[in-house]
Amino acid sequence: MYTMKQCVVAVGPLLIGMSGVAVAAPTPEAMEHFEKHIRPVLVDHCYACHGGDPAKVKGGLNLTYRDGLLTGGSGGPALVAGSPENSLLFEAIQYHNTDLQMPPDGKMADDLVSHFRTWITDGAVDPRDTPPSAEDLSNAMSWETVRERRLAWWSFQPVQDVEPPADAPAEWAANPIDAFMWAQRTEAGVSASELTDARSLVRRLYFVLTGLPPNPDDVTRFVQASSLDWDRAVETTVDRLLASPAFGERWGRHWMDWMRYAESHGSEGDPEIPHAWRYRDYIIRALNADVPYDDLVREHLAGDRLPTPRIHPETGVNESMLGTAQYRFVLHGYSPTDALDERVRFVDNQIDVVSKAFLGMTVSCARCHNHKFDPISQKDYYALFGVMATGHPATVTVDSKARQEINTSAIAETKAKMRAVMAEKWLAYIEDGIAEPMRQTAGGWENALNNATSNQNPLHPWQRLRSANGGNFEKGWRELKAQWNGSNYNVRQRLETPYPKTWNLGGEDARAWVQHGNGLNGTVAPAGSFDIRDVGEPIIRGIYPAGLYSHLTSTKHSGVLASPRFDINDKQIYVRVAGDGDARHRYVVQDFPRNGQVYPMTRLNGGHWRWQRWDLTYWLGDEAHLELSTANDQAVLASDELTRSWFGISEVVIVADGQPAPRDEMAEFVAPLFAPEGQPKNPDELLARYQQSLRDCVIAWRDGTMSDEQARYLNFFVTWGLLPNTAEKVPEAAALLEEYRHLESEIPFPTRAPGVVESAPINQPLFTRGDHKQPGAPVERRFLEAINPTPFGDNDAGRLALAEEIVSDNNPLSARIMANRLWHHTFGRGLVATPDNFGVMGEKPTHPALLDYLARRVREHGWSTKALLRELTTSRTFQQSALPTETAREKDPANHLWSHAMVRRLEAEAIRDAMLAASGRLKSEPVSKPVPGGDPHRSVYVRVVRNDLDPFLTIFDAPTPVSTKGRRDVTNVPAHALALMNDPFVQANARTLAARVSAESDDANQRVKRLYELTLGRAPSDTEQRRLLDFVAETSKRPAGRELDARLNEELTALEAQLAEIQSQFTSRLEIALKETPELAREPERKQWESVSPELFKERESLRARLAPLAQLGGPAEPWVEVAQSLFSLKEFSYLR
Amino acid sequence: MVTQRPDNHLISRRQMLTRCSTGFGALALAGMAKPAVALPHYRPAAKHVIFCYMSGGVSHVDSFDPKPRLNQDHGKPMPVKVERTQFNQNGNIFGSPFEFKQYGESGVPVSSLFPHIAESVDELAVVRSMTSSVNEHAQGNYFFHTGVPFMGSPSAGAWVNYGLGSDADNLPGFVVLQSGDCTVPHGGVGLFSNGYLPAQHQGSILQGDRMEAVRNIKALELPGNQRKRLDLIQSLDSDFVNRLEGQQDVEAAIANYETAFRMQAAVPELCDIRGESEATKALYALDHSNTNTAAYGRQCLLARRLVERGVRFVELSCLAQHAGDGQKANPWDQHGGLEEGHSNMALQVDQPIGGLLKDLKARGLLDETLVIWAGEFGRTPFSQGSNGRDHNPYGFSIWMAGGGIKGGTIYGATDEFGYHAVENTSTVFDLWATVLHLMGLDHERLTYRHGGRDLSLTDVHGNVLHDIIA
Repeated sequence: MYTMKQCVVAVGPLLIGMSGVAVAAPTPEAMEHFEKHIRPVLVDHCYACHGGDPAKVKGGLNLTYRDGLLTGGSGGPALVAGSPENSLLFEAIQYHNTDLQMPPDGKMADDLVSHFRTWITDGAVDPRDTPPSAEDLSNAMSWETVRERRLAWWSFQPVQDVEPPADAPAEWAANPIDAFMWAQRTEAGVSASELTDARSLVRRLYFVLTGLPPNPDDVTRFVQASSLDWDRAVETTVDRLLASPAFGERWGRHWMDWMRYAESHGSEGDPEIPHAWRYRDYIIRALNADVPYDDLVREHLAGDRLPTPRIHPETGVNESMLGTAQYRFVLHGYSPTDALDERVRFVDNQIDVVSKAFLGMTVSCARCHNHKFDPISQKDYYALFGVMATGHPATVTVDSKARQEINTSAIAETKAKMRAVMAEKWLAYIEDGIAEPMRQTAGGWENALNNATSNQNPLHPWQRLRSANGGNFEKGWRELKAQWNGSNYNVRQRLETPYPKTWNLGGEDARAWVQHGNGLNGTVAPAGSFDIRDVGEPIIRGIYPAGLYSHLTSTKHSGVLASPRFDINDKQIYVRVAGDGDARHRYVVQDFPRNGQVYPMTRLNGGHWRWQRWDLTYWLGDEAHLELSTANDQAVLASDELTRSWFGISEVVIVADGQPAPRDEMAEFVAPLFAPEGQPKNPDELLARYQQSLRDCVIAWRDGTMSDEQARYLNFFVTWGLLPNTAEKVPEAAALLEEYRHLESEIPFPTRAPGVVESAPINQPLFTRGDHKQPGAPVERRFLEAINPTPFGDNDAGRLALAEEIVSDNNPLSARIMANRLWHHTFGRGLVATPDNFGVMGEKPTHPALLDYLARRVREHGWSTKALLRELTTSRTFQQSALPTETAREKDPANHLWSHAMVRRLEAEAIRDAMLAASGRLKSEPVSKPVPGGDPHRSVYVRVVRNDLDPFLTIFDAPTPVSTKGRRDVTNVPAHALALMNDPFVQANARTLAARVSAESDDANQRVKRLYELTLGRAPSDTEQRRLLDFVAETSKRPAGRELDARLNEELTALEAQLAEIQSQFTSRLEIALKETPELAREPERKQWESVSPELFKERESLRARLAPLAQLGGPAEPWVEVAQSLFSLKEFSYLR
Repeated sequence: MVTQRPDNHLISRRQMLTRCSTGFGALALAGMAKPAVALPHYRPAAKHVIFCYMSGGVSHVDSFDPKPRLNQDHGKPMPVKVERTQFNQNGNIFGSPFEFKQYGESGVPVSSLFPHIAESVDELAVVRSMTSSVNEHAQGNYFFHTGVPFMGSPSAGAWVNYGLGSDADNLPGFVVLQSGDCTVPHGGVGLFSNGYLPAQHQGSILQGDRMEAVRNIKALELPGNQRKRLDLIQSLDSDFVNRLEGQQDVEAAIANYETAFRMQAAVPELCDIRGESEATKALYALDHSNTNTAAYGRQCLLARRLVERGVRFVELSCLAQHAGDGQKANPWDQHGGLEEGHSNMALQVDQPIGGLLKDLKARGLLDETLVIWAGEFGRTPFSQGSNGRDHNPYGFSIWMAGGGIKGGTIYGATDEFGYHAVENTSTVFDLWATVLHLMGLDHERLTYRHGGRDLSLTDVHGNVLHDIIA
């Protein structure tokens, strides 16, 4: 920072350099322009050559101080103030003159150049009036010194062990908060306001702690209790409110602001973030349970990595894991062609939110360069980038391990028994049952044989040769054998081809893949693994080659499988997969979780194996990984339906240009038949050979020694029913089948939530100037160097390590951040008024000692939110009247000293909830799925769809979920008034409220009184009572509206016509739609509308909502409705005093 | 340092009236929909912006950037590297199905899509070298409106109002018009957001042909009844304020009732076009047999009426070609059937915009009104499939007219295929820097502190395009 004196001094010499250009004294704007746009560029680009030792300065030109520029070097003055055209410096940086181009390593960005133009044009204001010393120069240029200097900022100092002032008078000494306040206020000569009245206080307590108004009985009780023992009444009430379920709903919403909670990703298509609401419920539960803040930080960053997570006692859900949903509340673009750009952007948002929310630091400002103001380096940014970017976005299974493994081992035992029973049955059948149908082409063989046209089909030789004799048979066999030999050669070729990359998922390679979900247990399934159908026939669905499978216990199980990340250097990738029930398979470019035109995805159905080929030409040069998931375990495309699905994968091959593509080979399917020595001479010998090969396969299966070829071979006979595979044909298996199905039926469907799955850790290369196309050296994953520069090591990405650093005793920020956030939401303004920014650009604390005291209390309380809130709300400071004292008005109009309570507007949610509460419509039980705005549940449950945010809440400043919002805006716009005057939601509540009080009493006086109690928590004054009664009396005399107003009538008619038009549009569209999807006819009307045209439906609903009250206008006047609505419209209703 | 606008001590007549009518004194001002009219940074050329947003992306090589080479080489493969496209269904070079002709004294060529706009070509500065950094609709829309490709930042209309204040009585300073089957472009209403700027600068959607043109603007009761209720509210509220001994923001909030009440009358008055002459209506194609053309014409006419009432920034919205065809959010997005689609879309907007230019001119409003015509990107010179074009952010055309613009200008150029901008490459930041400049605002000085940074519409970018300024 420069001082005023420097500014003044700068003027004199400047004028000398400006030939004839009249320039006024440097304005603060000009000085700022220099500091912001010119000085850093000079330091970065010029000082190295044009600074320091005069003997070494290039061309004699010293750019480190003003006169150096004006005097210039061998080429003359570097600049002429006021005239960029005549300034050599400007000529050089423009790069037009090939003989004079600076800086030498390349032209600066256009915007930098234009800053210089502006600067010179405006008089080249420059406060650097002497050349810097060598030390100054190195200081100016070394990040370490800059960082150390910046570390002197208050928020980086250790939290002080402060004692509350001891000399406060008794009433201010009981609560240390008050003692701190008293001391600072007394020093400033400002006196405090009295305690507020009981009614105001109880209202304040209720709104602050639960976000709801007290009901009239609560008020009465508090007024009575407080008249007997004020302090006790306050404490009892605080305890009761902290214990109420509404507490979590109130404070959970604050957390949701900090985490930019949303239920969709925004952008084109605005896809849902599946199960996002589970985070909402999680944070509500956690706060109600007073889970310590440090644990919540751990859960938000690494809930999936905790050695002993919190398990919900009833649902068996791993609560801790739900915290990681916050990573997923990012915005996602739609089908971006620059996938890395997109990735950088959403990881940037994760860094932004975590650093603002838990550290009060704007680390994302350091993406392109070291932070402009705070001791945060660009390396810090990329150190955190590596931590955050390691997780793949995913829908994760959040059940406890125990719940995930329900009946898994019992089923394994049952399956082992089943294997033995089936093997025995098959061996017997191969011995004396199979020959007959095989010869007769009976019992399913006819179909199987008709289908056996390919030489990959194990029955193909039988199909061709079963009726051949003599020479024909031998010739035919020789031909087939030759094909088999050829195919074997192909297989060997494939194994020997130096493909850029192959993964054999039936072997060691599988270890490198990320496995998540209870269908994948971390081990490779050996050849011969099989699954049993949960319903119907046959018993065994399939016998599989070695690989990874999601369904060997149950098709209810979930599975998310991700390959290691790889750079796309080759155009083709082949993946050998099978699956059913709409399992998904895709390659994921740069972790972009949506699919779209250039982000293809395939669905796996039918259970057949295939080589899925992906053409990656488009994405050459990007990074990707392969992903398989069960149907509802994609990151974005999942639905919350409980469906069964499965997938299996055995091999992956990345193929370079010119290399053979892998494909199904005959040799892989019929080896057991052709591999043995010798050759059959006739059909009987061939049949015997079939029997022998099958016998070998079944024995190998039974003994667990099977090869992939044997598994494929045996699988063929089993799935075609050529070996007995039904309960009817294998009565010995019936009991086991039933046992399996019983056990399987007890397995719950997984509980899913947004989250991340951990992949191999990466050290993110620093992007030069933030340009993702210019990766530099990788940065080790670690915390901020200003606090602890030790790298996290290679064990994992370091998310848990980061959480530990954040809550560590060595980090002075986090406890202060938390204490200040609680203070902000309790008192209406933080001790630091910028709760998300404790850096240089934020506000300084008004009460640093108190803040440190509270930060200590946070740790002493074991990070308990409720304990600290109890201290805050039971303080006298909290209970003061909102009326300022004379001295406060004079000396501290902004109330920095907290001599009185702040009058503040309620948050959007509290306004909405208060209307619902007053009218009696409020449904207090929680909901799971988010509800529309018209629903009578608490606002925290109203859906948060980014492209369609609730208009009522938005008007009252509910945040747009893009980043941490620790302090909401409080705006004053006419839209508030319009909403309170005309919004159907407000009117609906007014009608209900009017009906409520009208039903309770016929007496107008009573009604007024009751209305006041319900809406404002107090009795009306005499004047107010009289005004309302007058209003009611006058309004009651009013004639019916519709008859009065022709224009109104006209509008009503038009509205009705509009509705009819919509209806007819819908009808004709429905007709068309029904031709394509006749099933639609069976859907309920609402569904039909929504599938034909969600817009039309929305429009109809809104029209209907407008029409309903309008149509009533013809009826009698409703004075009590108007009174009720008026009370909702009062400032006293929406402001807390 | 925060660049705050200095408080303006010159209070306009309108403001004085506003103050008096609310009865709450000067304190109410802070919260008015209409902030103090700020002094611009320097003498403005324009006072209003009408932004004709061509959502979906108009093909520049079929409209304002003729490329004979495309027709010569029609059907041949692109001889230069083809960048990633959104659909990756790239075909060969695709000659324009539309004819170009030179118009006016300037001889600026315009295709057969826009014969009416072409009649005013001497008012237009066509920037043929516009570029965008994103290739997708929603991000492109956000980038074009806010300079940031995602939601959360202030729209240009909000910046203009923040910088200059509204000059309108009882109307929002930033109005987004819709009509007919219109919807918000991809990305949602956040495109018109005030972002981190004060909320009074947000765009208000006004559906000029609807009963309730603005959300909640339609009182469901007789004005007299509502007035009585407002009087009741006001009397009760003033007790509250008195008890609190003058809480400023509460007073300001109370004043909003009066503004809102007046808006309820002002909006229907604005939308009631019965007083316009038949000739005017015909000029705007309100009588057009194509209902989309008539609906768009209504927006154009309302835009003029808004400008007349002092509204700073008006954005117009295109309608989909056909009702319910799934392209409501991006009507110009012809990945297939370009010829038919662009013809339909041009039919919708050409005569109305042409009419708007002529009407503004005739009424002497064009000098102070900057008309901007632009979409989020252009389209590829090669085909997508057989007869469509994919998105092309690397070089495309926009135009501006009126309000200080040097008419009959062509600025910048794309390569011979119309693929990449190669001369005077321009950015969205340059566009807004120029617009702000014409409005009397220095884009580098129009900043707002948020999240620890001084943010601006043009970030660290943007150069005023002096060559297109008169």
